[in-house]
Amino acid sequence: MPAELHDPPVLTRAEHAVARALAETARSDEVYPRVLAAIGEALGWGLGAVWEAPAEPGGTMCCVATWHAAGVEAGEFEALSRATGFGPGQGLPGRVWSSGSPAWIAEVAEDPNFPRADAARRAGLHAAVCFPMSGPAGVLGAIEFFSGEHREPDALVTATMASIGAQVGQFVQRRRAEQAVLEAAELKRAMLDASLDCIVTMNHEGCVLDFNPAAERTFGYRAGDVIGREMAELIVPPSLRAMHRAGLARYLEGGDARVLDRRLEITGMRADGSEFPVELTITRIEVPGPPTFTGYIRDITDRKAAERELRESRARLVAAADEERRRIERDLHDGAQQRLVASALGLRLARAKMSADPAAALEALDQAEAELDGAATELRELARGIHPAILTDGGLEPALAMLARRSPVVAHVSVDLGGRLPPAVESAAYFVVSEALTNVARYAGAARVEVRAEMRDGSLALRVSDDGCGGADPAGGSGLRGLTDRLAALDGTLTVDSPPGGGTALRAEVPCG
Amino acid sequence: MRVVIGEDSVLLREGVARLLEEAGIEVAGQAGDAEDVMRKVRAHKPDVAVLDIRMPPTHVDEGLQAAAAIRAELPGTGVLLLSQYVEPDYAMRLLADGAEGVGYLLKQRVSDVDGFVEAVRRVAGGGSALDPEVVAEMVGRRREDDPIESLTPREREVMELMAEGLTNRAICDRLVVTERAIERHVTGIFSKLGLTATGNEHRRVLAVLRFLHA
Repeated sequence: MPAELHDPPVLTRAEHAVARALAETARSDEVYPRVLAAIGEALGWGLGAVWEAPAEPGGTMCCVATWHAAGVEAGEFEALSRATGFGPGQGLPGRVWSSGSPAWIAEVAEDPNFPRADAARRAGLHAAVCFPMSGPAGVLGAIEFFSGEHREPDALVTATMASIGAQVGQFVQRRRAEQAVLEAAELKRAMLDASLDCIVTMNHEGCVLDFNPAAERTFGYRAGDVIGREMAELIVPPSLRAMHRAGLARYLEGGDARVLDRRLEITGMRADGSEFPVELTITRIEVPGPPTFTGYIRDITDRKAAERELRESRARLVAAADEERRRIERDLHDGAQQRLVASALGLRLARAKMSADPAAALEALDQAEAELDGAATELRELARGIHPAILTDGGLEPALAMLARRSPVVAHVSVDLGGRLPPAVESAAYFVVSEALTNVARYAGAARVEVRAEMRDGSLALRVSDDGCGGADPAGGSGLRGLTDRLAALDGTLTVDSPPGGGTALRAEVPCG
Repeated sequence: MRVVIGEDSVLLREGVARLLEEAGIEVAGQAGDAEDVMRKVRAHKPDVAVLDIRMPPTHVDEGLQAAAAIRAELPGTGVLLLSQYVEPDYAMRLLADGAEGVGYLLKQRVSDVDGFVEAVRRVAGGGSALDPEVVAEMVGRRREDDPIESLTPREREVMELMAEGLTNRAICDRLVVTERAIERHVTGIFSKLGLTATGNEHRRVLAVLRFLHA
């Protein structure tokens, strides 16, 4: 043991060396080797290590840095330390972690709680000291030193080391807090950058402070070109600027917060002057000094278009249903109803002629019978047009087979559904095929038509393809338009592929989930 | 001859019963649902059961199921099904076990009293009766290289009547020609359609129907 070890000047030198290391190093992972070297060299220890306590309860301490003096051969011991984890109370670092106080071992090979004893013996290590690295939040870890000589505990050295441990602990804790702030700022930046919504921050004068990438994409400006400029003249349409400026002034004067923290639908303006609908929420950021505002802006052009399309398709569905009811009324009026009236007249005529002219009465009865028969046939056909009973009873397969049988163009049907589908899907599919076959017969000039219905990924996939002249309008006539609306109501789609001379293929997909 | 009627519409059930009774056919029982039909058919063992295809409780194809049960249990009992609409698949399901004592008519056909009574008698006698509209839909179906196109109008007429279940005798009455002439047409039809004209009336009916349905 060097005689000068507990000399006050030696101890002071060690403290100074540590203070210099802390002052000159920014990061905690860089400070450990310098601190170890400073203490080790000043106080003549051969080998040192820093152990950090786990961030989560239940974990073990890990050796995060080691140092050895020139000429000390302890590679195996250092490697073992780095590979070992100590729980509370285990080994030398665990002991210090639990107690929060320094520990001194004069001879590690004889210590009952020193698991690394064998490796220490092979490395020729004898004495050891370990002291806590503690900050205001408690013990962050422990620093241990070993000597190749036997050393008896020394109160002054121990006290110095405890004081150095507190210094290092405070430094580490401060660095960690700074790191956390830095990471939070980076996280915020990353969130702003990755956000799908435009995020625009402005100060109390209405000038842009921040303009995220989504805002750049949506409004067509580069952040560098807009920061510092008045936001109103950049992204607020001219017609709304006065209102925007007045609102800001009103808020700053009296705190009229009517637009804050509410979802607004308003018009935005791109760099090229085009206007588009946006959804906007403005919040005030709580910072000292004049207020700062952040606007979250979303381009809702597509949503508005979808809403309009939905409204229109709903209106078309209602109109189609009305038209259908009028058609049924007309068919009933012109057909079955007339026949029933004629039949009733025939029966009355027959009764009147019964005794005077039995032959005429018989003829009238025949007539009445024929009219009734006709009425029954027409009603049956009408009912089939509204909703075919075979579809209700048997599902798509027999219903499509019936359509094929009635098709004036040779029709082949293949159905592979593995069971019944929801009634609305069956019904939509039936009318798609019915309309398609009617169109094929009317316009396609086809020799044959193929109808396929199968399940694909939980959706019904329908395909009606013919070998006719093609060239059909993909937008379709009013019939197809109605079917598109009907399918859209079920989240389904309809597409028509009809190159001139290449036949027509109509495809429909309807989810069945 | 005795029949049991299964039909949930009271109006139609009573109408059919009256019409049959006036034609001298005894109505042994009337039922409003499939279960009651089976009970009464087992009790009365009629010559024919006249059944609505759609009956309570589900109104889907109870009549068809009852028909299959009756044919399995009581082979001597004919079944005549009445349907609101034309469905060749139902007809073919019914005929799958043979064409003896089976009929499939549109409800509307009941108003042609003579034709209806004749159909009931034909089914009771082990013959078959298929609605002309079902036959027309099967014949009218378009197909490629349709061999039916090669039939003469007369042969086509004969084929349709044959498919309805009429015997040669009945066909010559209907068309007012000699039985000899009908036999000649039948041979012509079978060779043009590539069918073998062996066996009895029922087998001929089935052969034609299977051809039409294929």
